[in-house]
Amino acid sequence: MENREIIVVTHGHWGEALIESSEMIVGHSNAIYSFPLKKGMPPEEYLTTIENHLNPDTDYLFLADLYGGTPANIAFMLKNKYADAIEIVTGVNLPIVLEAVLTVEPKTIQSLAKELADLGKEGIQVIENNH
Amino acid sequence: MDTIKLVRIDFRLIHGQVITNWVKQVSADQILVIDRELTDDPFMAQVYLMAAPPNVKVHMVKPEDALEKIKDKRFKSSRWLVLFKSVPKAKEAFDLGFPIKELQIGGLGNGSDKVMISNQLSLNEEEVHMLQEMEDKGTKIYLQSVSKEAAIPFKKAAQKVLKK
Repeated sequence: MENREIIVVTHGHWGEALIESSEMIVGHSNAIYSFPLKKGMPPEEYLTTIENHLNPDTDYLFLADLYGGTPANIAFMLKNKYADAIEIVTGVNLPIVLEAVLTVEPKTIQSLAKELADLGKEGIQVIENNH
Repeated sequence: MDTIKLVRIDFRLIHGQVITNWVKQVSADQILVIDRELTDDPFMAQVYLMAAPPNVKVHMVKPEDALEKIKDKRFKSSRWLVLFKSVPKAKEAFDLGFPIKELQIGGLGNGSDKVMISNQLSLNEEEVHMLQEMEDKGTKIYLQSVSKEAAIPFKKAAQKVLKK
């Protein structure tokens, strides 16, 4: 089993804030961190920053804020290069981050990505009176 | 009471991913919330029920009815996760004869009289004394918020609180 790390990629710093929020609930994890796309930052610089950080013996699950946004697209470019070592889920929300932190079992990033995507959708609900 | 797989104190009760994760860890199919106030407050009961994971049935009972519920023949092959909101509530059920072989302290809010043990866990002296009494009667107590973190033995946490 390869090592597995989770990288939250967002427009601005809310990925960092999201991880901080999750720490309130499930505590700290070294296996999740964020790369913010800062205002005015060229996409190439963002790509290089992330790519320089990647290790060959680790699988990376990217949690991106917006399908089609620069952070997700940069992750997609990395996936194009590193194939199965990278998986991407878009539309990151707190349930997704919590579950990503709580999941420590060995499982592939492919199956984890699928689970997290399903769970993130379940997290969006209209709260009705007679639930 | 072999059907009781986990007994946990968490002030947040059924709290999204946290409880879903514990349900998975112990393969529970029933959750028993023992809480007198909630059984009299349908609105708040509903709020907690909303957060329940799918495939698990949630029951809310008063402490004096808890044992009868677990012993019900219909649940003889069930796997229970038992939840209390606070230490006094767990102690009350315990004193009424509800069996607690092992007790997980999973979440207790902060307060001015409290000593912080970890991120989600704070204890005050009164709670320590109640838990000590339970431990003296044979309950194994430990502090653990989520499964990926190591459990802290109660004794260690108690020393920290009483020393302050």
